[in-house]
Amino acid sequence: MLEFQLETVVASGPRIMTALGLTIYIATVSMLSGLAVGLVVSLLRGSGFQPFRLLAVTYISIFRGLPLIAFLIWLYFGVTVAFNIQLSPISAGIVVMTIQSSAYLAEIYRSGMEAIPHTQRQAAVALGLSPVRVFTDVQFPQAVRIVLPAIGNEYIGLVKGSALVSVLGVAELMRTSQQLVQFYQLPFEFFTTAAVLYVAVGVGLGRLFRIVEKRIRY
Amino acid sequence: MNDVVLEVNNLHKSFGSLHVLRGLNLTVRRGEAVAVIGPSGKGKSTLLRCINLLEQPDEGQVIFEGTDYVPIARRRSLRLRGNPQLRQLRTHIGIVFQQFNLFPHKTAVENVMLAPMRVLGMSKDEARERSLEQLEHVGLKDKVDNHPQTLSGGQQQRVAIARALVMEPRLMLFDEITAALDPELVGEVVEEMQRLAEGGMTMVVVTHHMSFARHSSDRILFVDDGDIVEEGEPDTLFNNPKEPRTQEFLAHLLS
Repeated sequence: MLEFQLETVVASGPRIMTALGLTIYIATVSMLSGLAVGLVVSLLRGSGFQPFRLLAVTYISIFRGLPLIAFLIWLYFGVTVAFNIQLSPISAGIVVMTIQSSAYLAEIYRSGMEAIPHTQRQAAVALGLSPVRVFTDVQFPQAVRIVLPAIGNEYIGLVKGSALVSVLGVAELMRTSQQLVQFYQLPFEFFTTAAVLYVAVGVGLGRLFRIVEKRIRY
Repeated sequence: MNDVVLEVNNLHKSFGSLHVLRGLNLTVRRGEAVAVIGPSGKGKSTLLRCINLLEQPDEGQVIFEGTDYVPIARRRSLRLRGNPQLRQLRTHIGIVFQQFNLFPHKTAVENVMLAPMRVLGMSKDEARERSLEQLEHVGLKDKVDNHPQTLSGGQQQRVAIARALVMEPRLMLFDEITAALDPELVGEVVEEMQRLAEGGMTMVVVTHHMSFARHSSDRILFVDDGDIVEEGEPDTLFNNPKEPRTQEFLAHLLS
């Protein structure tokens, strides 16, 4: 085996770190907006109004079943051309990952809500709380604790999934590593570095979520 | 009559093919403690849950302080604020459940404070003060910051009683509130109901605790197969039950 060219990797450190930052940025923005959109989808799915439910179920089925890379390419190279929309590659990546994660998160929220005994809702209703208050004060805080581990998984999944945005030419960690490999002709060094960084982010996020879970345990 | 708090007329409720309530009639006057006894699964809990409209009756009237709430409950709305008249009703009727149903993510005092703040619009300080008072009444002054999971069943049930009482209800419903408790914890919870009955609270108590029914209630209803089979003052009903089904039920308890 050849000697591992650590100095070259270290010399490219700033560029790799910037790329890692972009990876985390894309995943985090997608996560946050996915949490919000997913909540809306989940509320529609649980609403008493049939057309809303149907809309939500259709949304979830479509975007859960569509491969991320197919969706990315379809949106960035297909839809933008067909409808003459200006969309940066980063935005396209965030839009796609937001939509996909919201479909998963809507289902995660639902499982969380279903895990709360219906007697909790009953007790709150019997006290005269409005449906909104029953949700914000009784169901939501309990559901958060139940779904937090699943949300952590989803976040880590988004960090990994963001590697696919490289196909649109976004200079995130994967794309940048490929460019460095081409430039220095050191595939093992740079791909290993990328892999180690992905795993490190995953481990870090896992730790972070465990700390939060412990914090809000009751 | 002015002192009639609750009037239930011809109440019917079915779950699928199971006809749980079959034309039940009931009148409760102010200050009265009514005990409801009878075999399990024959409509006692459903009766209570129809009184505060947690269940929608299929037929009949539930008249609380002069207003029939059954037609009001039929009006369904998509409004996020819920049915305002029903919510109003529920602030006047307190209920305590068999399984306590405390909110596990909140401490004892937070459980009690929630409705005063969110329903009556009290400030946090005022709600807390009143909640602490209620918890003191039920003997839990030193447990106010405990989460439900760290309390015994009897303590949890007393928090649930305080949570209902803080709303200053005009009618209290108790749904077999000692049934889920270990035997040695029943006494402390029954004492709270006795204290309320003696204090003149209007209450409907579904119970298997015959000593409470006999010594602390003003009137006993024996309910079987979705209707009142027999009712009367405690001594009369316990000593001289007229109906064969009542006799059988009481004989079973004593054997």
